[in-house]
Amino acid sequence: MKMIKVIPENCTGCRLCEVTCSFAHYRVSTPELRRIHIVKEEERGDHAVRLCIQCADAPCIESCPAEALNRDEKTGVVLVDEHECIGCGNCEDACPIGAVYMHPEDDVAIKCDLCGGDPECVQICAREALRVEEMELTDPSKNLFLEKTSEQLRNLIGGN
Amino acid sequence: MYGWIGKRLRVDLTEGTIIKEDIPEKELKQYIGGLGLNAKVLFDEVKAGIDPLGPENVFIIGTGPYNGTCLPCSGRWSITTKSPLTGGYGDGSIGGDLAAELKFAGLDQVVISGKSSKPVYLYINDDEIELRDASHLWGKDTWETHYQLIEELDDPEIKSAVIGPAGENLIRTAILVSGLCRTAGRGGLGAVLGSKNMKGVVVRGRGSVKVSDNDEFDRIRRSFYKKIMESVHIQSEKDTGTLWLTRATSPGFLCTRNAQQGFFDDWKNFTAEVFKENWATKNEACFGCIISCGSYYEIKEGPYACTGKSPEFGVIAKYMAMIGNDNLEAALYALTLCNKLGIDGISAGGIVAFAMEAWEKGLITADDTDQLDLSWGNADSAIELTRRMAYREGLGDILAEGSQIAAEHIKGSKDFLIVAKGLEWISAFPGIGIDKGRMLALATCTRGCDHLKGYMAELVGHPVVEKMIGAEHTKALEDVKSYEGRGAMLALENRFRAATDSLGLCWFPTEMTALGDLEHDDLSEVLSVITGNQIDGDQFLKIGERVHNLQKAFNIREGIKRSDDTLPRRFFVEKADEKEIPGIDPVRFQKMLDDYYRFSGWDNEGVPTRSKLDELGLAFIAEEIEAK
Repeated sequence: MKMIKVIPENCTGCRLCEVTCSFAHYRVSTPELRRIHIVKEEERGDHAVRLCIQCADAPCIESCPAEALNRDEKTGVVLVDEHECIGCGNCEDACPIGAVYMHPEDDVAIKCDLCGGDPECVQICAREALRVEEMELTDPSKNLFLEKTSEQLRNLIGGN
Repeated sequence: MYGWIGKRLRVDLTEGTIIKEDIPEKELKQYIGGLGLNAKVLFDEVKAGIDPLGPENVFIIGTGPYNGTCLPCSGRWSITTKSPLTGGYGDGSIGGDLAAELKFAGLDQVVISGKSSKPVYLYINDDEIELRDASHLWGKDTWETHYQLIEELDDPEIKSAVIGPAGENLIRTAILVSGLCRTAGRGGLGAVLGSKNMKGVVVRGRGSVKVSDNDEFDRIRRSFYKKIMESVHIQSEKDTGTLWLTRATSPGFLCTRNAQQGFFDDWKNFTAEVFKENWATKNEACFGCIISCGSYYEIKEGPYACTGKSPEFGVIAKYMAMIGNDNLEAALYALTLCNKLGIDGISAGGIVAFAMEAWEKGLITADDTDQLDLSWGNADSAIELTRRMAYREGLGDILAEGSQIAAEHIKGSKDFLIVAKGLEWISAFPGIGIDKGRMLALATCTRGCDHLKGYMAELVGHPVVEKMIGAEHTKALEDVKSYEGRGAMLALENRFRAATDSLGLCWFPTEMTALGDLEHDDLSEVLSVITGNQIDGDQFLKIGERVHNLQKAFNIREGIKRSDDTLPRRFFVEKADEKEIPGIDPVRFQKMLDDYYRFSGWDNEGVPTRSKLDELGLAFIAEEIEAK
């Protein structure tokens, strides 16, 4: 399926993707409503990029008691049905890479929806650290980006 | 409110109080934010003649309405205070990530006053705002401090802006350092925080910034993206920032060996290309930036092994050409050291060069330097002397006062002081063919020698120039040997820069409109869309003029005069332009200054006229400066 490929070596740490994501979805610029998350490492630029990889076997889908998380059959994207979502937060806990968030006010889960196929973050990533590419769905354990991100996050945040 | 948050934080360190207040909408409309709004607060709240390192001085952090939005390149913010080096208006523009974070935390501006009885830092975590003990951070360099703060606050995403040992030791060239390598505060602004026993500011915000017209903003952010990416001028700044200036200044415009000459034989050792090939590791950007002019670098081994980022031409040129050093590894090491110590590398390198000329002329000897050899090109001595300045050791204690005060102690050195208003010179040498307006800009800048308030580049070739300064002056600008037209042009550029630097936008996308950069009509349009307050390009320039006059008035109130709008003695050469030798003709320079004042609406002494102040809505300052 067409997905966002992350090339962390190219990431400059500018975080324009975060605020653009927030603005594109909610018409407001705030880190609380971003669906992509950059943790900047100041000394060498070893930034961590956290973004949903639309797992082949998605734990968020399995964790949802309301069947509000489903894979779009045409595009393969895992989407949140905000009308069905009961705001329990199980998916946020289930995501092994921390790429599902809870909306701070509306009590629904939010995650990357690839903007319907032409992701806004990719459009403004000047150094092409984010690209749309045809990729095979993978499990988190086999995902190289995830391994790197997890290692970086461990070093930086000491979590996950 | 849109774009703006409308909130100002007041921190009184003497009383230990923190108050959040509303900023009147009228003030925001009149001064925009950042540099402009800071200028207003400084003028209102700092009385003439106070000691810049005393509790009466205030230190202001200001963001603009662009900060925090997804408009590309909107990561800049401003600090403003009375300069301990020049005794006049002191401000600095800085990138990094702190501005957006401050907006997300719900603040446009922070005003710090008084003096704490013990070391503290300000921690802003959304609405949880407190002064915290910084005793354990005092003495640490800026990098150690940043890492320690991450650890003790248990948050890798904090944004910090701190001083290093130089600021603590009240070095008059100390700066503020944000995110390890983003710096501001030429003129010793970091020492002001040091004098207040304040290590710095740490911010984390989770709030939001809204814009007034979402659909229009969505359109404009895309067009800004396209315009910036396609600008011819910006291409030279991607990857390696201002280092392209090495090549650009090599034909005789590069201050060498304390500005004794403008040619540096080894300039090829520090071009952007050489840096990129040997030491650059990765591109680096401020918040929201699509240019990523910064570059991480690493020197893996040897005496200069270090990491760092953003190799800035101004500092590198000082530790190369200005001191006669041919080794870029040593200069990169010096830059990293300056950032860790929290000392302004442009000034520090300039002061080292000044000391080296004093050594060459026998005015200081090994007895004065604790046996440090200050021969031209001795990079190790330059690095050691920089360190001694930050810690006020030996000769470093005198040099820590800046070269102008140091010259009082080094007999016979005043003739080769390379400063304007006491601030060490940048690297521009008045070689044959230099635009004379550039020298005028450096001589008249409100914060001392500086090119950031108008430098004969931004609007050259733009139709607004002819409209505002007339056809004759515009025509004169084409002849680089001419002294005509420059005064008018600089007066116009002052306005453009002051308004632009109040937005929160980076300098680079507005540096050369002739080469595709953003212009005042673009900037005012998006400002209107963001804030909902409609203004056009002309009104935008009028705000800039208001802000620039306020800065000028601050200096006049401090007793800074026409005679201070001048160049280092070394650069004045009679009839220089007629005889094909470098330099600036002193008589024509004065004529150029006359033009500049006249076009600015100032009298012959450089004082804004009553009618100009009335026109700008600044009548309230007339009495204060008329008394001078």
